Amino acid sequence: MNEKRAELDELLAGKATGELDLDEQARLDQMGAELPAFAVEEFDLLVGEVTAALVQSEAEPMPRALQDRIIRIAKQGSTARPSTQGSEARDASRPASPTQSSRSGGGWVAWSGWAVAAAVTALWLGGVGQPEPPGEPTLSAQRAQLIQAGADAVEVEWSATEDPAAAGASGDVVWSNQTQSGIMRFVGLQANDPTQLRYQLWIFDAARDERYPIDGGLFDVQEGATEVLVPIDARLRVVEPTLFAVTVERSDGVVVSDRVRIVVVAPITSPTQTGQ
Amino acid sequence: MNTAQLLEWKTPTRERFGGFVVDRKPDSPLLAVARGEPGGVEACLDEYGSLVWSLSRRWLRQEADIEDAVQEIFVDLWKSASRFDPSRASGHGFVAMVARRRLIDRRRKMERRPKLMELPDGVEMSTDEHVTTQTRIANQHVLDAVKTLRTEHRQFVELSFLAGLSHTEIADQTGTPLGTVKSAIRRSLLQLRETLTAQGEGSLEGVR
Repeated sequence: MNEKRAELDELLAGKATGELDLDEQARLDQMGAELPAFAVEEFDLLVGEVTAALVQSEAEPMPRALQDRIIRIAKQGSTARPSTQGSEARDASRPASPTQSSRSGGGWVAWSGWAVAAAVTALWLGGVGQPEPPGEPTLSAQRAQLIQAGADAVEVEWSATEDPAAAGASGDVVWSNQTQSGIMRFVGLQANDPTQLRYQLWIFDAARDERYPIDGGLFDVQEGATEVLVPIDARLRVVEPTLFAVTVERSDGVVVSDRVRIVVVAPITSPTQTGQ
Repeated sequence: MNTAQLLEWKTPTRERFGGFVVDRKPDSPLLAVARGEPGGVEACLDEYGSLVWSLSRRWLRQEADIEDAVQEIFVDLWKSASRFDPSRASGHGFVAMVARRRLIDRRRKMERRPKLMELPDGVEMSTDEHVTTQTRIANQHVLDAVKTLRTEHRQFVELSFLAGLSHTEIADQTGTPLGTVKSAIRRSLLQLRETLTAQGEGSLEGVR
């Protein structure tokens, strides 16, 4: 392959990954001016093929409601913006006092082999819990159903860390591998200002690298809340959960936590808890 | 090789084009959409919905943003379905390309940069019941090609393609010099093209 073709290939590969500096873009504009569109697109398609293969190895089905909405829009020939009503329940965001805090006492905490035996103190406060979508079983009812489902359900109590947000916090997490669903229950977890910081759940899975736990979703605690129930929204399929952990993150969440503020953890230490 | 794969090889659905080889369904729903056939949109959603949904969930955080993005991507697909050329790419590859472009645009507008993304460990069969054997075979060839990359380069590719991290973010997260990341990803793409092309040449032997 001649040098010019090699250089062009490298530029096209760079373009396909969205990373060309100004000089490279100028060079590509010059060299690629006479290329047919399909040649320019070759690497874009290759990136697409690789992406598709990687994603499909762990794909999740699209929610039926979203699918139906897209079909309706297609038939209407409209590109109207979708309603965000469906997402409100999870992202209840009533402003509360900021909860900026220093690092958790003790700084970094090791994840693996964690067997926290924290003393749990229940502290009940007055107020309203997590808003629930109308027309569906309440979160309390869903939680009860999961527990009553039997052997599959895991119910593990939270252990609070030294993070200030966890002072006096308690509760538990219920998870069903069969239904890939769960409910977290918190009592005494400090209210957060969602415009600044939010809580994020992480699910550690024995089938995955522990450096990259599964994102279980963002949630908030409103000022004055008592018992807060939060549905778990696992981004990936959970195979063998070993530990649930909640961290404090920036308002739009993160893909991987820096683990600076670990608030509560719920390790699955007993085989009987898993029901697997 | 199982029966399904044996039948696949007897039917020459593989063609060589543009330097690399991809299996493709001769009846992609994108073609139905391009032709304005009834049921094309639904078939498109059934076939590619999980791909677009899963990719969007990896790139974006808020549920509303994810749903918006998925809708926008499918609108883009319907507008560009007539450009889909099954001799150049698989339906899934074309869809992923369109999806990435839309997600890149969206991400730039939102000016949000997530940190590292979970890396898929090993290869698992898709949970999507609509993924056909042909698609699984195609996916497996691509995944096999990805596995030939050096571990570190494979990680860079996954962080870039799956999570859409910029090279700078990948460099920061992995502690690798930016120039190294940039070069590694480009070289990996070139290597993948060579590997898939070589796979295709081997697979054509004795088929026709």
